[in-house]
Amino acid sequence: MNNVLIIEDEAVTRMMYTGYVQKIVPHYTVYEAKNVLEGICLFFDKHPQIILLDMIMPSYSGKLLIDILEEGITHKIISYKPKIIVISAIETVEELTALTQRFVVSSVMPKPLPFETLAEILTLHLKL
Amino acid sequence: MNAKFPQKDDFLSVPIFEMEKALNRVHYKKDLLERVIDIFVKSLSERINAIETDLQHENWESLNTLAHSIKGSSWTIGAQQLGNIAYAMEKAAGSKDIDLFTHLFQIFQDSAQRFCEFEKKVN
Amino acid sequence: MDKQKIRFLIVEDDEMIRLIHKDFLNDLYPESKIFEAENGAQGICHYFESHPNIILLDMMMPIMGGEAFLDILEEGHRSNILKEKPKIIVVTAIKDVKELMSIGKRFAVEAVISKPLVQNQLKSLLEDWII
Repeated sequence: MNNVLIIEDEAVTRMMYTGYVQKIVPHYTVYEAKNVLEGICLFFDKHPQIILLDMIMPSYSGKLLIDILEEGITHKIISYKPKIIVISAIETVEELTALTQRFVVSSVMPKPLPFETLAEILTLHLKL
Repeated sequence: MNAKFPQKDDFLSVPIFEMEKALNRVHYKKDLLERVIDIFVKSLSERINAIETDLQHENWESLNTLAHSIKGSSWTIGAQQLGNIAYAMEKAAGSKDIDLFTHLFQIFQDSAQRFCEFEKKVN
Repeated sequence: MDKQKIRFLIVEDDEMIRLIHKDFLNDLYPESKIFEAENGAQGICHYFESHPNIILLDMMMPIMGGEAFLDILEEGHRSNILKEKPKIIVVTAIKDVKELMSIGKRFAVEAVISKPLVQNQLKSLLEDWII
């Protein structure tokens, strides 16, 4: 399914990513979630190939989605494996290391993310 | 050994295993009970090992969770004594009292040993 | 609910309790499908993959608990992504009355039962729902 899912609580950032993605892959459908709970539901509903995931959000963090996907894939409950691109303001080496050890996380990118970098990442992961 | 700590005898008033309760829980299906007890005994030894490791590193959160879950499983299976000791351990872990926890853990291991022996005799 | 098409989901970290619940449900409804999850994360995956009608949900579990499970379903329903509404029976060792009451008010929660689960309580609930 040619879908991309963006999970980001800040409206302006979210709109910006959507705009970028639509420019890079205009034939893809972009779905937006303003919190990880909505993101999880959209993931299961739309089966996006790529998820742009913010980590720091009020209430639940991006870790919830990562935990769910890893449990689902490890225990063969879900057969579908999306690529997660974490886009987050990472503060420490520990945080970064912890994220890169998660097997469903394909890339970890710092915030703010320039358009060119996103284009590169999407090209790489979508094999454009 | 702190005299104010609960002693082994304090827990002995409660049976090591309430067969009737356990049977009731599985609707009197003996082979189901056997399977359930097998799982319990196996998980008991796994959790005892985990507690030993966590105790060395004073991982209080993990110790709390382990004690809590042993308590739940024990009471489910009619292993009242074990459940009661685990409950005391849970509280000790909550207050990060290493001496009390270690003391209770010793009592727990003795009790677990007796439970397994009892099981072997009964089956 | 048609008993031929019932799908149960048991979300419970204690293997013994999962076994007891599964055995019991199997006896009552041998044609049903029963899915098992060790925690809320697996539970959510099973939910979206198989759409169980009835869920036995423990609250305290490692990795992800019942609270987050309920939050996800609630959000899914609120944003219209989740169209059906399952029946959730929360089975918990929580004793705090306020907490129990607030769980009872959650989306799709039909009953809150204290551990250990007494089979007859479960049976009468199910008999009300399943023909």
